Amino acid sequence: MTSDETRMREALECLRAEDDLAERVLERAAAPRRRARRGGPLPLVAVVAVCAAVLLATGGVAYAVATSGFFQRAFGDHGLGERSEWGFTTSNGEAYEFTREFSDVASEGVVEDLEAAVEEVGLKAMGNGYTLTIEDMVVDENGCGAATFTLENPDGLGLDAKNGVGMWDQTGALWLTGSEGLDMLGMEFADGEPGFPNVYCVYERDSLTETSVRATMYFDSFTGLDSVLTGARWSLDWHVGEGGDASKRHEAVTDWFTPTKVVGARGFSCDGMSASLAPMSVVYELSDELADQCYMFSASHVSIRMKDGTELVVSDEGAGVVNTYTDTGRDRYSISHTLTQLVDVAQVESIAMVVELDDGRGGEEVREFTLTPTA
Amino acid sequence: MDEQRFRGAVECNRDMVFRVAYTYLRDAADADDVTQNVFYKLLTSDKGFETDAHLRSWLVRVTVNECRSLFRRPWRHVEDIESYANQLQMPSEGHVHVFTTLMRLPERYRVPLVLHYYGGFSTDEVAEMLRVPGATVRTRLARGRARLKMMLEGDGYDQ
Repeated sequence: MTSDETRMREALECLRAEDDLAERVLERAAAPRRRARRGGPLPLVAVVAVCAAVLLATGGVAYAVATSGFFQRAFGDHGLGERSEWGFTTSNGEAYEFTREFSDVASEGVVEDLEAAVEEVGLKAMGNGYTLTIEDMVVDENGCGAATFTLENPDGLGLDAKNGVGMWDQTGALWLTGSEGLDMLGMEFADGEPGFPNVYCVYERDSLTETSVRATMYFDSFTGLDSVLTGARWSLDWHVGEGGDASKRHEAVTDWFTPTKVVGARGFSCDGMSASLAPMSVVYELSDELADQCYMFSASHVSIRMKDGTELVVSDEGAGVVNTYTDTGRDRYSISHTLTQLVDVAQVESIAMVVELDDGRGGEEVREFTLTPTA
Repeated sequence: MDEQRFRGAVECNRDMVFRVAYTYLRDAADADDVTQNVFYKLLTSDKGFETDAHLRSWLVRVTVNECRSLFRRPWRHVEDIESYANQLQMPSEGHVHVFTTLMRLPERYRVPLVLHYYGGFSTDEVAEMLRVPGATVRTRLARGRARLKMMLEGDGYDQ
């Protein structure tokens, strides 16, 4: 055994369970059971209330009203309506059209549970007349999440949604290019691995004024939850003068924020593929065996099938469905998405995928996977 | 299970169960909850165990399932691994470093590493506990060791 393996054993041997474990378990087993209901069936009013709750939670696609402030904002429609549509035409005349839906499918109960995982950040970065205030944040087991923020400049934001300056009206994207006085709104983690997550910002249409806008930054850490837990901070980047001279670039950053709460995820798998599904994100990964057989893979279709028979399409290349905020190739065998619609993971029956396995020599094999819960 | 046998089983196995739970959850409070749940299941189970090894395997399988169930909670607290390791009074800074680096490996690597190299379970036993093929366990052990070595060397860690 190597010295590292010896140290690993010796280090693990320092972890000890509590001495009173046996007593606590015996005490728990000896605790009186809850008495069974007396008096027969429930009263009629209670029965109706229970049935109504079940219908709300399971009838068709559950467009439940999100009661929480954070989730209503971050996973609502941003003022774009239930569905956003956009497209472009290439120089060859090929037209591409895309859609994105925002209605959340989580039950009210799920949103209330998740609300407890939202943490107040309350950090600011100021530079070039702008103030970035990070308000709240939530992160999940996949190392994905969302942070709400406000961007302000008393002299004017310099953003123009109608003309695509810094923001894109069709999708609600906040997309800075430097001409607005800001180059970038960024995020980074303390471990520097790889330093900058994949982020995508969407603004709230009804919050936009000449001098301020509220928005949400969706992030995917690339490397997973551990990076996020080392600490996160946000930045404003801008340059003075013309050109890409690094000496003209400036940055203002917030203090570090270390999350202490993580939203849970549920594992799914089948031969060849596994996935981790959280309410806000999904990561899927090719099995070691398939990874040995191909160079990389992509997914042309991913959908989530619910126990009530409804289906949430995450992405479909052919139909132009993009119900994701970020799409990240974490490595050649792992892909992750932050979702536009909250998912009640406990109600998920399976995840369906159509995947293209690239052999790296021009050859491609298409496979279908149906992943079911691992636990 | 009668109380005397139960107490004996707890005394012999509680630390192992806690260590496997911590490896999964990386939070001592959650690991304690899982440990308690596992031994509650043992106490209230009418299952018979032919050998101590049989009991040990059963306990680890139940621990793995309990940990997976815990991940389905809406959310959980997380603690700083290095702070926790420093509280444990490990033999050296090197031990703290190896421990925290191990715990920062992705779950698919760190759990098989701990079950095999610490728990002493064979790759086939680990495969059964994790419900993956034996070949997958062997691949993950190899990759886990390589990743651990790379992370330790990358930190400039001097063995």
